[in-house]
Amino acid sequence: MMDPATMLSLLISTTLILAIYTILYRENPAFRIGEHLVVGATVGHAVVLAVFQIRDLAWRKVESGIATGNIAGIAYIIPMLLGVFLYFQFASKYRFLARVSIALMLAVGLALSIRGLIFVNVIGQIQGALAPLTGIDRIAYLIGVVCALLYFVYERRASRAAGPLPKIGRYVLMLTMGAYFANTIMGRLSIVIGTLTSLFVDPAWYLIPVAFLIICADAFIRRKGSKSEKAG
Amino acid sequence: MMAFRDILRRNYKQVIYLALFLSLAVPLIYPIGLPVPIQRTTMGVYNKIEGLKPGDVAVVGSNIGAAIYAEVYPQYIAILEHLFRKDGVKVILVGHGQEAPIWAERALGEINAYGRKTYGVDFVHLGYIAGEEAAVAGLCRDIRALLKVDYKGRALADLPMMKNINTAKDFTIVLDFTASADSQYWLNQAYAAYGTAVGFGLTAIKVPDAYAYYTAGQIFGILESLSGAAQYEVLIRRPGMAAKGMDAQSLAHLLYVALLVLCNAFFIREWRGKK
Amino acid sequence: MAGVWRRIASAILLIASLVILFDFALRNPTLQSVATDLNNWAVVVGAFALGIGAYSLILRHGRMISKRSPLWPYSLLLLGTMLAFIVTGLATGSITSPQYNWIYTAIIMPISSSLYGMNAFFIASASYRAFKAKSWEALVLLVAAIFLMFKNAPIGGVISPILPQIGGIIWDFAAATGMRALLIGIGIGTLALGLRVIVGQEKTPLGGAE
Repeated sequence: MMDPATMLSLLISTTLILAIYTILYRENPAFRIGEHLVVGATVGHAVVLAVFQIRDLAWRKVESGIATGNIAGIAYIIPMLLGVFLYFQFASKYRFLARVSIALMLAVGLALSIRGLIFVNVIGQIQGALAPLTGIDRIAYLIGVVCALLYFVYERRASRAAGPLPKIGRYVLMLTMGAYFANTIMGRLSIVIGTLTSLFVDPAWYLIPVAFLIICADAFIRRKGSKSEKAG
Repeated sequence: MMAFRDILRRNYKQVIYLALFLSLAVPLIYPIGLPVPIQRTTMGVYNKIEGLKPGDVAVVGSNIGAAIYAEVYPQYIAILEHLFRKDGVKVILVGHGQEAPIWAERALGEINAYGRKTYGVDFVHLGYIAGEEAAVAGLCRDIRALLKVDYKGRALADLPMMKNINTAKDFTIVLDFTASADSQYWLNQAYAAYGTAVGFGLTAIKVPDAYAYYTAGQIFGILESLSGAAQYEVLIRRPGMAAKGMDAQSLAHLLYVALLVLCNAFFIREWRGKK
Repeated sequence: MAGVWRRIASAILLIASLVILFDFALRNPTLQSVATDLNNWAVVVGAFALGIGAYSLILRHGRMISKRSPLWPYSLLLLGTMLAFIVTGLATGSITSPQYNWIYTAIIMPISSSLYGMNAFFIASASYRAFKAKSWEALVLLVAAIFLMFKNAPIGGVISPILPQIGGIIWDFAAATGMRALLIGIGIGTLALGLRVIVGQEKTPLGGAE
């Protein structure tokens, strides 16, 4: 037997799932309520995390720095100040202060990405493409990569140097897009399967026919209303 | 008959939605039991974990959230179950997504981690760390400079297993469970900088990118969406939600193929008619 | 004043980037220590950034409530939910406390997963209505997608073993060619754009377009 709190949570979550799926029928207040709930909840969650993160990643270090006289710890007041400066981007007079914080985040993020991507995406992938050309399939793969890269350079422009290769590259990329499409379908279906699995739980699933009945009643009433309008 | 065809033509969207709902719902209620073939990307992850020895360190990163839990959470549980079956292997859980700690604690509860292993000796949960790639870089370069405490506020210095683990050089493998571009972070920071072996558990939409890394030998394996989770559940003989979902996937995929074929059949008929 | 701060920001961008890039190349202990501190400082600033969404939402929806704009009850619901999560999280001291887990499971989990999953239905209706092979390229895309769908779902192998095999060949080819080319392109593009931002050629990230 389920405890009352779990039962209530199950009923609320089932109602919200069905409320969101009513958008497949038409735009309605139930969907809007669900939308606004999730936006508020997600942002509230982010604020809670922000408080805990600032406490654990900065404030504890400042406290321990002050207690032990460690300058490196006390220096964490600087990023805390820079963090506060971020909020000045909403004040047009002091927006320039936010730029310093953004500059630091941008610098670290970009530098870390650049140094990683060179080795992983560029050198690593070129090495993968040039990997021992031991069979016809490997040679075909290499030609395919070259054609696709040439398509990025030339697109649809005619080129004597490249010849038909960019056009072949376009077809290679269409195969890749087909792969992304098939995988997108698989991904979205997996999410729906997860949602349905949580719907088909006793006693929540009784709400499904109730939702169907409400939608059918609404469709019937709207159809009758539009018919009588036309007759009038 | 004419009225039915009229309804079909005017309300084709609702008819398709209903067909899709039924193709997913019916196999969930009445499973068919289709076989789940094991792919080599899944075997790559399995063999890597099977090959871990006592004292090896497995870092399990995640960006699991409510939006993608159906795809990635079953993989996460299966992997943690496998890791926890390996005696002496140290497991570090860390999140680079805002909801990650919630799912980490749920998974630890589902596999009875606290009951079968000792926290601080066999596994540690570091919680969520803000900062995206900078957070992962900080973990790889010097954990104790970044974090003083674990997820529950216990000092890292007090956790016995963290005494000898401080940089990515001390990690044996990294497994990351995510849906977005942040799967790149561990590749950039752990693999590129320290040569750490990296594997992924991904949503289906990210798998094509990751497969290019796999064929280049940069990652040791990928768990591909719900299918990968189902395969792993078969390998570790722990049936779960994923295996049940594959029947529903199959029927729904057939529906999509039928819709695509129908659409293009009508298009060709129209085109021939115009000619 | 704003001009001076923009120059300071550009200088921080250049110097911090160079420290982290050179640290990767040189492995000097002093440089490593400075790079670690810069990295961890960026993490702290990133933690503060988590609250920006809340600040912006409070400003916008607060205005809608005070002006009683048409959808103001929804704005009240939004802000109320936000407050409920903040109070619960801070009062219980953890996002994995039973109370916080309860509201997370009741609200965020079902709505987030439903919103994401809805795409499956929209793709299905688009598959019937819009995905017409009007060109040879589109035909290649659709045929590849169909074989890959038979590879992804176990039923492909049940209908005929040749279907997932063809799907596997297409998958291996697409991964080794198109996806590889995309990743190389992303790497080179990020490198080019990143270097332009670091040396100050791209001004918009620091608000230079104003």
